[in-house]
Amino acid sequence: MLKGFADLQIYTLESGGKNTADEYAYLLSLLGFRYVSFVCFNRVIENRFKEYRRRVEDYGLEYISRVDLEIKSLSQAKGFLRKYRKSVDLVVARPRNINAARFSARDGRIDMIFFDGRSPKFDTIQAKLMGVNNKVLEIAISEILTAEKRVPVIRKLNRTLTIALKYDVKIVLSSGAHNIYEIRTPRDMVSIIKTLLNIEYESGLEMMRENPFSVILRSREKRNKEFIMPGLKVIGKAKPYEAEKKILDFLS
Amino acid sequence: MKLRKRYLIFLVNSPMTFSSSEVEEAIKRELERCFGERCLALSGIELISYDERTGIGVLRCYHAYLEYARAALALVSDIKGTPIALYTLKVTGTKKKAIRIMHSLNLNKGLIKL
Repeated sequence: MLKGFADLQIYTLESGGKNTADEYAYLLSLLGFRYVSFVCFNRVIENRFKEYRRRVEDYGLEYISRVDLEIKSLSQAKGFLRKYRKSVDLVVARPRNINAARFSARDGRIDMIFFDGRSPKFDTIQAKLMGVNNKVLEIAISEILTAEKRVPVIRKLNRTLTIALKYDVKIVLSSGAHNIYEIRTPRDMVSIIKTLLNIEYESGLEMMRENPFSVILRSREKRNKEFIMPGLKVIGKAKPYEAEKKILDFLS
Repeated sequence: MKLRKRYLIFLVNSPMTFSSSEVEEAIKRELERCFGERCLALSGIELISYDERTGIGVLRCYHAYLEYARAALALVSDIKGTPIALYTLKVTGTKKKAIRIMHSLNLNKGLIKL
């Protein structure tokens, strides 16, 4: 059973951050996190994932593999998904236009959507689609920490959260850290969104504990060989069916 | 309503060391910036103790403003352009216990020094 806090969006040296996986893992283990995931843009590098897993497990954490797909066109997105879905725990979409955002909300192979600075605005139609298709929205606390002017960032996040919660979209709260100084303890992160964005403390904790796990579990279920589609899976194999002679006679 | 006090034991993580006045100023600046002068005035926020060597300190506030104080600590991201992170390690109801915890953390500084 998965239990503990998760930080699913951290940028290492390979993905534009300033610290190594080792440094992050050490800090996160001290701050009470249990699960960690590092951003990997647009491609899956198995060796890098193995290295991350090894480093993270040295500090008693569990590694969740993740690929971030910057989606510009649907054909490109389908290509990415065909290639990478089976090899990672989390597929996160970063839509670059409105069509890509709608596609991300509908496609069953995408687990989470993150609206960064280059994504279109998060609107009610998007929220409705995500709510219906059980898609998870990711928000990063570093947007607040690193902003020179916090007012527009708080306004944008407040609007996003209000719409998302109205349509029952699950939210995952991550640090989005580019260096170790952008990482905060789980409860500090919850305090920030509670005070600045008016989110209940318990809901905030859910965003860092239960919601990430439900995404990970659902994703792992999808990667299982027995999975066919949501609600349908192979539970066992029987002998090939041999019809009795009288049935065959009747049918003929 | 009686204003009960809360003591937050926090840890500073930064490539440089800062004096207690610099840390206190940064926390108060962040509290005022995000939650306003009213919150700063009513929260009763005050740096009780700070050890520059280990980077561990104790901050006092009133219980009704605990979340604001905690958020203000977390929102401090730099002092004079140097990146910094403040982590709340523990919250207690008495100063005595807070100081005791602070010293016990000092003893284990090898574990918490980042």
